[in-house]
Parts: sequence; C-alpha cells; structure tokens
Amino acid sequence: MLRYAIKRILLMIPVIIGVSFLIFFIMDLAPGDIVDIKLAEEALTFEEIEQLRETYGLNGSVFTRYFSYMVNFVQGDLGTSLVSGRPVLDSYLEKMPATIVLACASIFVSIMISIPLGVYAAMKRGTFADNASMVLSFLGLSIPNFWLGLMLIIVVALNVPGIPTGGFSKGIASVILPAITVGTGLTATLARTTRSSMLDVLSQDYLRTERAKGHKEIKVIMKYALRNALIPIITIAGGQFAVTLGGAVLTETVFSWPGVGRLIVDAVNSRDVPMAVGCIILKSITIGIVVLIVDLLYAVIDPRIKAQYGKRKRKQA
Amino acid sequence: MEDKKALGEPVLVVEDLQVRFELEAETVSAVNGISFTLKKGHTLGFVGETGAGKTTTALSLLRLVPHPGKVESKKIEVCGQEVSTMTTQQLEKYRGNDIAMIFQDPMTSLNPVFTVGQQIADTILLHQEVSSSEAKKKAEEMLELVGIPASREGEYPHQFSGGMKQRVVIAIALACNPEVLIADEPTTALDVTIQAQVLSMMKKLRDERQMAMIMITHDLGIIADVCDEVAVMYAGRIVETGTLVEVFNRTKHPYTEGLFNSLPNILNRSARLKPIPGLMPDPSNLPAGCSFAPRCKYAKDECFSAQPIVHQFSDTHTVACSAYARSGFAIDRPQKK
Ligand SMILES: Nc1ncnc2c1ncn2[C@@H]1O[C@H](COP(=O)(O)OP(=O)(O)OP(=O)(O)O)[C@@H](O)[C@H]1O
Ligand code: SF4
Ligand SMILES: [Mg+2]
Repeated sequence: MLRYAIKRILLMIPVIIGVSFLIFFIMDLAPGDIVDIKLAEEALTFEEIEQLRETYGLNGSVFTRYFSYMVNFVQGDLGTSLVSGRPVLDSYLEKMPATIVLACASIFVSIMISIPLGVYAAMKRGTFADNASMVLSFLGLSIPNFWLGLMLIIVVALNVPGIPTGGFSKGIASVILPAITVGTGLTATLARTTRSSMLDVLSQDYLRTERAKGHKEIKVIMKYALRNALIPIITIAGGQFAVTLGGAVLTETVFSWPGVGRLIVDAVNSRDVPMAVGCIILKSITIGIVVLIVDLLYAVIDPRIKAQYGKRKRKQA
Repeated sequence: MEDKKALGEPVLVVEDLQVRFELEAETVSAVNGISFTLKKGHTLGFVGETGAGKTTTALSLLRLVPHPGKVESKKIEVCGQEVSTMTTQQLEKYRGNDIAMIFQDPMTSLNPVFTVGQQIADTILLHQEVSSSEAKKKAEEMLELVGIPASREGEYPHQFSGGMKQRVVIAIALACNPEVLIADEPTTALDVTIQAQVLSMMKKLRDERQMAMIMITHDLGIIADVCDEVAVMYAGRIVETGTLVEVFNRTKHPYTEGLFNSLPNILNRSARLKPIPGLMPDPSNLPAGCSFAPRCKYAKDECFSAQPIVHQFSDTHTVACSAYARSGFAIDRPQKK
C-alpha cells in the first residue's frame, strides 16, 4: 500500500505540469496583462511600460516564460506576486487556515446531517418520510450558494446578535453561516448518495445473517450495513472536501471569508500570473492528496480493495 | 445412554402457518397452512421443488420473513415460547441463541467487511456473558470445530472458498449452541466431495449437541442420509409427512412418488428418468382443488374442485390426497416394509 501511495504521488507530477501549463497558456490568451491593468490606474510612458514588462518577465513567448517559471518551481520557488510583491507560497499559506476551517466545518455539518438522513430514507423507502427527505435534499441541491449565503446574512446575521455577517475574526460564531452555506449542497448530495448506497446494501443476504444472530436492528443498520455502504459515501464526501479545500469562491466572497478561493480569483482578475499559477498548483496538490487519502481509506473500510492493492504490489515486485 | 428418539420431547411446534406476500399486482401465497412438530435430537427434512415455500417456512420460525410478507399461525412454539407474540427484546434473545439458521447461499451470507472471526465472535458476545477476548477464543474453537484452522480467524470471507464459507456460516449458527438448527440447503452451493464432508460434519455436531434440526433440501439422498422424519412440500403445503421409512418405503402421495421417479435408479441404470411433467402452479394463483392435480396422473374430477382429503396411515404418517377415499387405491410405486 505504501508503494501504491508513492506511485500515486509520483503520478501527480504530470498532473501538475499539465495544470500549470494550461493556466499559463489560458492566462496568456486572456486579453490584457498586469501592465494594462496598471495603465488603467495611472498614466505611464512607453518606456515605463516596456520597463515594467521586462521586470515582470512578460516579454518572450509563453513557452519560454513557462519554462523559466517551472525551473524556479522545481527549486521550490513558486514566485512572487506581481501585485503585492510577496512570495506566493506565503500568501497561500496565510489564507489556508480560514479555508481549512470552513472545509472541515462544512463537511462535518453535512456528514452529521446527511448520513442519518440518507440511512433513514433508505430504511423507509417509498414512504412519505423518504420522499419528503429526498425532496428536501433536492431543494438543498438546487439552491445557489451565493443566494443562500445572502439569505442567511439577511435573515440570521442581521437578526441574531453574535453571529457576524462576514469575516473570520469571531471564532466559531463566524464559521456557522459560511459552513451552512457550503454544507447545504454537500448535505444534499451526500444524503442522496447515502440513500442509494444503503438501498443496495439493505437487500443483501448478509444482513439477514446478522439479524438471525439476534442483533438489534439499529446495530444491523448502523454497523453491519453502513460499513458496506460507505465506499460511495466517502468518495463523494472526500471529493467535495477536496474541492472546498481548494477554495469556496462564492461563499468566501459573500461572507468576506479570507480563504484561498478569493486569493485565486483576485489573482486571475489582476492578471497576477505567478500568483494564479502558484495557487492553482498548490490547490491541485491539496486536492490530489485528499483524493489519495480517500483512496487509501477504501482499503481500510473494505478488505477486498485492500487485497487488490496487495496484489498490484506483488505484481510489481 | 437413553434412547433419544424415544425420549425426544417437542422443541418446536407449528400449527397452521400461513405466509402471504402482498405485492401491488398480486398476492403470493407462499405457505398455506403448514403444521409440524420437531422433537429434541430429531431431524426433520423438508423436500420439495423450488418455490415450494421451504425457505419462507424456515424464515417464519425466526420471524425474518421479509417485507411485504404477512405471517399468520395458530402456534409457533419453540422451546416453550410462542414466537409470534415475542417482543423485540425477546426476539433478539431468541434468535441465534434458541434457534439458528444456516442460510441457503454461503457466498452471500457473510458480511464482506468483517473478519470471519469477528462474525462468529459477535454472536457469542451477544448471547453469552464473556469478554471480547474470550469470545474471540471461542470463535477460534468454533472454526476448528468446523474444520478451519483457528489461525485464519483474522481473514475475510473473500479469502475463503465456497466450502469454507459454508463452514463459517455453520460455525456462526452453532456458536451459541442453539436448541433448534435450521439448515437451508447447506450443501447445494458445494461440489460433491465437499458436500459429503460438510454433511457428515453437521451430523456429528448435531449428535454431540443433541440439537433438533430442520434440513431443507431438494435432494432425497441428503434426506435419507440425515433425517428421522420427512415433510414433502408442494405449493406451500405439506402433502406427505412421516418417518423416513414411511415416506421412503411406504410412499403414499403421488407427488412424492414423482420425486422418487425423477431420481436416477442405482439398481437399474438403464431405466429412463421420469421427471414430473409440467410446473408447480403459480403461488399467486393457486387452483381451487389439489394444487398437484394438473400434473397428477391419478387425478379425478373431485381433485380439481375440492382440497385434498387428509389421510392418516399411522400416528406419524399423514398424506393429503383425495384418491385414498377411493376403495383399493394405490400408487404405482411398490410398497416395501
Ligand atoms: N420477498 C418475497 N416477495 C415475494 N414473493 C416471495 C418473496 N420471497 C419468496 N417469495 C415467493 O414465495 C414462494 C416460496 O419461496 P421460497 O423461497 O420459500 O421457496 P423454496 O422452497 O425455498 O425454494 P428454493 O428451493 O428455490 O429455495 C415463491 O413463489 C417465491 O416466489
Ligand atoms: S388429490 Fe388428486 S390430484 Fe391431488 S395428488 Fe391426490 S390424486 Fe393427485
Ligand atoms: Mg429456498
């Protein structure tokens, strides 16, 4: 399994190369660069413009610029922001805590709600309770994040004292509304996944064996059935968690949340190429690692998958 | 040692058991008024074609008939307790402890994400006052008992062959020493040599533990091998029941005769097999008269219109067939002593 993990980490290299080139290329195609943006703010002479392009390294073809960026990257240098002049890595790491808090809070909230809800719906399949909870989750899925965020601010934050409308400075209280905003969509998807995965498992013969042993129904469901239904659930939950760790742009914007999502968007808007490329590389690495952890979790949950990793390992050896 | 057969007291009494599956489009009458008794240390065999209602009967004894099954009965008494009125708590104590079932398909009866040791130990933990390390030790003993090295306790079902899985299923069923053991075609999924091994192991365990056993199968050879009494099932009813000798040597019901005729004859290999023509009636649309009538070569008009008359040939031998109301009626199969 260690071999498998190492292999997966090595596989991230071509992904990073691809992603970074793509971003470089797209940003090159996009009209305007940072100098144009500066021009809009202050009048510059032709010489000054050329001078700036030179210092920002904006001259030369996209390939040579990409190449020199990657040479620095391999040496551990993600570059410095053209706007703030600070190292990209520092800016990213500075925004990471807020993003991690939001991602963890929202995934926690949605797991605590969606799994019991999905299990319950599966057990009551076809009844009013099942239909009601699935309609509810469909609603959760269809509500746009930014709208929900704004509504929460208007309805809750402006009426309940102690709950801030935005920012990351008031501890637990400040994360509540953003977590609900991000978590609603997650909860809806996860509840539906849990329900369908549980439905598959509930008809399996081995649950009858567990019942015939005399286990309580709740134990049959929450221990013996759920464990078998977990794979699709953690796949979805892990994927969503990874994406949120990459930054929840809309929610961050609505709540002025100092996360990495806004950092990336701002960088793109101001044509801050090293910042945008660096952040997206870091984002891909984060997502790649989370997905890898989820894959390794499969093996912990399901011994048959573990056996497959083992086999692959033996073949390689 | 006392003669167990003479001393056997009933541990299981079933009267007028009926099970219907009420589906949207139709009602499947899977079991239609079955009564039987099982004594301590005895083995009762249930034979019959696929769909006869054998598994459903067994599941009713554990109250595990799946939705939308409706179970009705005058009496289902196991070890002196009425099953149909048990509370959930009583039921949880009863299942696995007083009665256990070996399920039809070992391939799907084990939980894929728990070790076989865990699956045996959790029954023991549930019903006995033991610590988890003691339960694990007992689980290992159970594995040894069914012929699997205790060292494989930590392995998962997918690491076992079909025969070994069946042994694990048996070990789970036997873990708490149940009074009644139901074995639902415990060997159909296995190849012939393994079949014989598993059967002889089950017989040994049954005799050692003086268990009452219900053996469900469509294999008359297995019935002859392990059973004391036989109940022949057809379309949710018991059409003939008696001791092994009565049913095998003094066969009375035309359906039982048909089952024997469809077996290869070891003494006369050139004799052609005579499978029963036709199919069992659809349990959602059973005929008004004898359900075997469309396939029965002895059928007369009255067979189609009225339920068969029950004839008692001895204290133990009962047959549901109207033909015996006709004087001098006998089936073709020769009667032996
Ligand atoms: N869950 C269910 N829903 C609807 N009908 C069912 C259900 N379970 C069983 N039946 C029906 O009940 C009848 C009896 O089924 P059962 O499984 O008891 O037969 P069996 O004698 O065990 O057959 P086999 O030898 O194939 O195992 C069949 O007609 C079957 O279609
Ligand atoms: S009652 Fe009639 S149809 Fe039914 S088995 Fe007897 S002879 Fe055949
Ligand atoms: Mg069956």
